[in-house]
Amino acid sequence: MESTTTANDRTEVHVKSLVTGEKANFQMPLDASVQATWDESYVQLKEARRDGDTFRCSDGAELMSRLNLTLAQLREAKICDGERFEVRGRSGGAQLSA
Amino acid sequence: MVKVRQVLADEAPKAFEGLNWERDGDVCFVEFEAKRPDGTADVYLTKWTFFHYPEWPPHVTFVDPKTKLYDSSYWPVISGSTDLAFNASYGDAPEGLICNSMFFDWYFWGGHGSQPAVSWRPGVHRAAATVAELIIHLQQPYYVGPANARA
Repeated sequence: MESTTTANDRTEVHVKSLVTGEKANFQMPLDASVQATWDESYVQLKEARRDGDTFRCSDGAELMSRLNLTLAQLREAKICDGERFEVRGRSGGAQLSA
Repeated sequence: MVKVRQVLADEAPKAFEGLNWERDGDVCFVEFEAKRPDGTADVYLTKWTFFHYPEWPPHVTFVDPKTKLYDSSYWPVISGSTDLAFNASYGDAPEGLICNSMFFDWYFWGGHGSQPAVSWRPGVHRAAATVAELIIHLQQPYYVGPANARA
């Protein structure tokens, strides 16, 4: 049976910044997009978006190709179990190693 | 040293939350679990110092869990990442080189220091960012196995 989601359905979202270690828990509508959840994460974490930041599940699954999905769709696809997300900053340099 | 101890008191509990770690004076030892492609788990002990933190990222190296001293045979092997490399031995670097911009030594060995887009920013990056890069790269699809298994 196909489930339906209304604007009144909400879920608890858990986000950790992998840049600062800060955490935030907050409510989002289940019909909110992953992009909207990512945007709200900065507000709740009290952090500014940094160039190169990405959004991912806490189990490491990437979300950058799924930003238009809703939280309900993520849940149905069993992605980001428990609505646990991470903001990852950009780092690098290994390609220059000898 | 007063500054270092204050940093450790302020930062270490948050940065190492959920990990098995201990503090010995101005040094922290932190365990990280790695998962091989076949699911086998390996545990690594790392040594952390914060002498130039938060202006620069922490210095991290892998150590022999018995002696708690740097030993190149106790480093992990990874493949497939363009963001981080574990160089158990690297030129004149005294404790190897974790080649990533969230690690202190990256700025001082091998001429890596001029990549502002990925560089450590004091007041923005915290030690948690260093922890995160280790955790991510000791899991799949990157982690291969321990260096000493290949000797």
